[in-house]
Amino acid sequence: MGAHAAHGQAGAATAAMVAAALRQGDKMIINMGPSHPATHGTVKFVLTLDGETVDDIDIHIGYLHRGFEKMSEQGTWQQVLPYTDRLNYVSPLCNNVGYVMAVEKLMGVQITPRCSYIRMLVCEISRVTDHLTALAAGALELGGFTPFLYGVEARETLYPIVEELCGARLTTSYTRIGGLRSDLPDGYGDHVIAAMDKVLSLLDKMDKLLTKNRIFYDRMIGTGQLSQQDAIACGVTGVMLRSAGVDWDLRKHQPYLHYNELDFDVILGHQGDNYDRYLCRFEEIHQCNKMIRQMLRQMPGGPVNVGDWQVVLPPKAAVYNSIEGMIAHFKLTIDGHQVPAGEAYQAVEGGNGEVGFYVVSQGNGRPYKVHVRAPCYYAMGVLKKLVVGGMLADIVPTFDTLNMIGGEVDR
Amino acid sequence: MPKVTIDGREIEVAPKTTILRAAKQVGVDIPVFCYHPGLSIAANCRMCLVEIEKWPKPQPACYTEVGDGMVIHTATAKVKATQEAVLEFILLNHPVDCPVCDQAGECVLQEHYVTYSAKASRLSHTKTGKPKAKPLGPTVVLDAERCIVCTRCVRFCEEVTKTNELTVEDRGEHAEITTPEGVELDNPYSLNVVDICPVGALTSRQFRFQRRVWFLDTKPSVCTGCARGCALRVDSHANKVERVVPRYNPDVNGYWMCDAGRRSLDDLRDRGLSTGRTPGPNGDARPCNAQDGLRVVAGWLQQARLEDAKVAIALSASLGNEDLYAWGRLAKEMGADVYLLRKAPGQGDALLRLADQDCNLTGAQAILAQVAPNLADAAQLADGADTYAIALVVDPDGAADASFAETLHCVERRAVFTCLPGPLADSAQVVVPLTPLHQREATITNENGWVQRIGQPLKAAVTTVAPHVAAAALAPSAVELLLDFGEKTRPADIFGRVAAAVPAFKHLTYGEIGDLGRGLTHGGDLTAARPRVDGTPQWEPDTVTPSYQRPFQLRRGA
Repeated sequence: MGAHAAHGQAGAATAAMVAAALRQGDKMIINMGPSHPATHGTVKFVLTLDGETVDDIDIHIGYLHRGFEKMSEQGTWQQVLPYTDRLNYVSPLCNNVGYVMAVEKLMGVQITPRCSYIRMLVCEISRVTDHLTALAAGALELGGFTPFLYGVEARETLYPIVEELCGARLTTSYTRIGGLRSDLPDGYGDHVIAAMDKVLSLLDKMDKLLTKNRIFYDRMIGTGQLSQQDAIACGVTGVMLRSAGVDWDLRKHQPYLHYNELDFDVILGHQGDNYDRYLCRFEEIHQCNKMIRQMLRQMPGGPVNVGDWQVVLPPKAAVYNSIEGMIAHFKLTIDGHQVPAGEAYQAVEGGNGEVGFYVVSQGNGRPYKVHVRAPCYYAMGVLKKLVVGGMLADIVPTFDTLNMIGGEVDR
Repeated sequence: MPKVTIDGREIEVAPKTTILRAAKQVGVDIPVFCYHPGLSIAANCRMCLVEIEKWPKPQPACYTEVGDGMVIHTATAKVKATQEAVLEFILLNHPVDCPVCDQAGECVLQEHYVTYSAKASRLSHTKTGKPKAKPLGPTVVLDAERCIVCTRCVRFCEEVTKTNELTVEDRGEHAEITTPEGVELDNPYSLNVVDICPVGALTSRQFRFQRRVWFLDTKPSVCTGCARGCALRVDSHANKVERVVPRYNPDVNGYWMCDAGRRSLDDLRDRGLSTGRTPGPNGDARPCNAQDGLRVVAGWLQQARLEDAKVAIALSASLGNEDLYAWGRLAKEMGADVYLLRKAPGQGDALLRLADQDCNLTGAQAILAQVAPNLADAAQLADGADTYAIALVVDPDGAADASFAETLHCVERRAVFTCLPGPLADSAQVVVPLTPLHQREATITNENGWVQRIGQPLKAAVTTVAPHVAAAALAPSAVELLLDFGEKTRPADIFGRVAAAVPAFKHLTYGEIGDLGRGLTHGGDLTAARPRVDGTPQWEPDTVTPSYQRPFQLRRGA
């Protein structure tokens, strides 16, 4: 009890729950997490069990809280970017893109078509790594070690692709306000196609091992069910929302970048259970594959960065050899981008749903406020509805298909 | 009153107002290089060109006076093209020096270039070279390549100091600031040219290459070098003063301050005391912190009360208003005689420097006259010094000289409260280290009766004690006096007591003094009604505040 009290508000709720359970006499209280093999992410559940049935659950998040939003106020606008890598670190490029788009919206910067296409490309690659992680971990947690290895191998096929682009597998920091760190490397398209071919073959193996696997099917079907009404009422987005049959995908319904030029389908489930979420992710990877190939075919030429030195750092030759380039570089680095006073919200479809950045400027080089609308945070809010009344063991697949990423929930 | 329209905003301004000032009034910023509000108008940089309807060519906003019905545009394509051209021209021969230039980060040229141009260079040939690191005198170094020949420094030496050391030599791209043959830039205000230089051409030999400006903590404060009390800004890093620059205050110093004032904090930095001295058990001296020193002095005073012995307290006129009030109260409670210590007069001039070196003489006289009835000049102590059993000298920065120290020799017990070592401290049995004025909150009153807050630009050493706290601790009814001051003896609270006790301070509160100060009441007249020092209407200087220094404002929701 003393340990719970340390958690303040959450502790009080837990204490009340425990007291109620103790009064009823036949209930069992158990802790699951914060360090538990099946909660891939640091989170704690305090469960009240009636036999093996989950009677109540108290969810403690915050173990990975680093003060992202407050830290963002300390540096320049561009210096916030590396923090965004660490939100949903399984698809960091989506966060990179979302953040700079919010700042660009406030500054009124129009990025180049090539930049827009490359941003879409990296977002889709990130989505594939995100979904592969969820699928592979889900299989593992239900005892399927082989599909886990296939999934992780597929992910490991894509990480070198990301690394080729920006030098890091995870801490990408690839975007810049007004452009990108760099253009695509030579022959990048071929590397991506080859990697995607391999991903698809591995995905096919996972499909064969899992989709019609009796044990897997029985554990997934009908468990962790989320109704359309609850999904909408709780602000759930992404695969969780679509698996419940709600046709909502920002790429389709609030198209940003050049998504309106791409041919792809929004994948919907119909009963919002674990199996639907599994299938949706599976199929979305195929859609990503389709889009990636389209984008590589349609990739426009031209520069990746806007030419304005008030927005993008001048080329190094100009910095070292001309006072103009030197000053522009100096001021952008020391003072930061001079973002007009105001506020902007920009959302992108991330791996787990709507990743939104709300930024406020007071008209100088540092953010006044950066808030992240993290899709996992809303998914965690709805978790209780998914597990109460179900079996203790079903928490494991449900928590997986929810795909909580601590870095994003806790920020 | 002429009515003008600037960028669609209509405003009625006083006749003879320039477009630049009128624009400022409607919140339109026009970039300038050569214009400085404290100097004559040269209009040579052409950065402030604006378009006026029905006028054939763009006009300099700093020079052109408004006329009734004028319609002015400051952001048209033509104006923008002019600004870009001016910047391209200025940067044509500008060296790629930002990484090694002290001005970088607070440079007007950098600021204007990114705001009004940010265009690439089109220069294809070699830049014109000029002398670099050329000393102009004992305080200032010129980098002629960085100079944009705005002539602010030349005008300063002509108009403000009237010493005419600087001039422009040659023409066009070869134009260069220089001194005539055999002349050095050596006047008591020379460092002001470094402050007004919009670029890194003129640098202070003291501050040069010491610290990048974005690492400086900048705090408003006041100079304690003489009775003028110039408003200044202390730029420090890790509690070490790196640079002192004047802060605009129309009622005290205008835009300028003297070089000696800038150095006035150096003494404390270089020689400041952080430990004191008490007599050890064997009669030897041993180092102590303020608390230990105060304990010994409190013991002396207790004994003096029992024996009905006489106590003399000498107070420096360079103490803060709060300190003087607290010590005056202490003297009154103890029935001690108070002597006012003055510094030896220095050299004054017609501009800012005053011969009177005591930074708070006006305040000391006004306050001590009210709270310490037995007030006399320190020189008078010589006559009856031997009648005192104890002498307490509160002299933070060396007002007392060696002869005063000798005068005190006949007093049996001598305690000195000070920030600096010296003959006086050497001769005393107890030395209590004081917190200097710039390391705590305090107010001082200048010769014109203008009360200013020193702020607290630097942090205090924990071994020192603020004079007003020392006074409270020594009072016979220490508890009572401390309670009277408020538990924490905050200067703001004590200032409230000063205002209650001293008529000249009556209308003042600590909060209202603000950054620019307030005037004392003199027989019903406020000193605010006196003419301002620089004679110009109040007009904020056009200094560039880099974004990392801009005040952080908390915005509250409804």
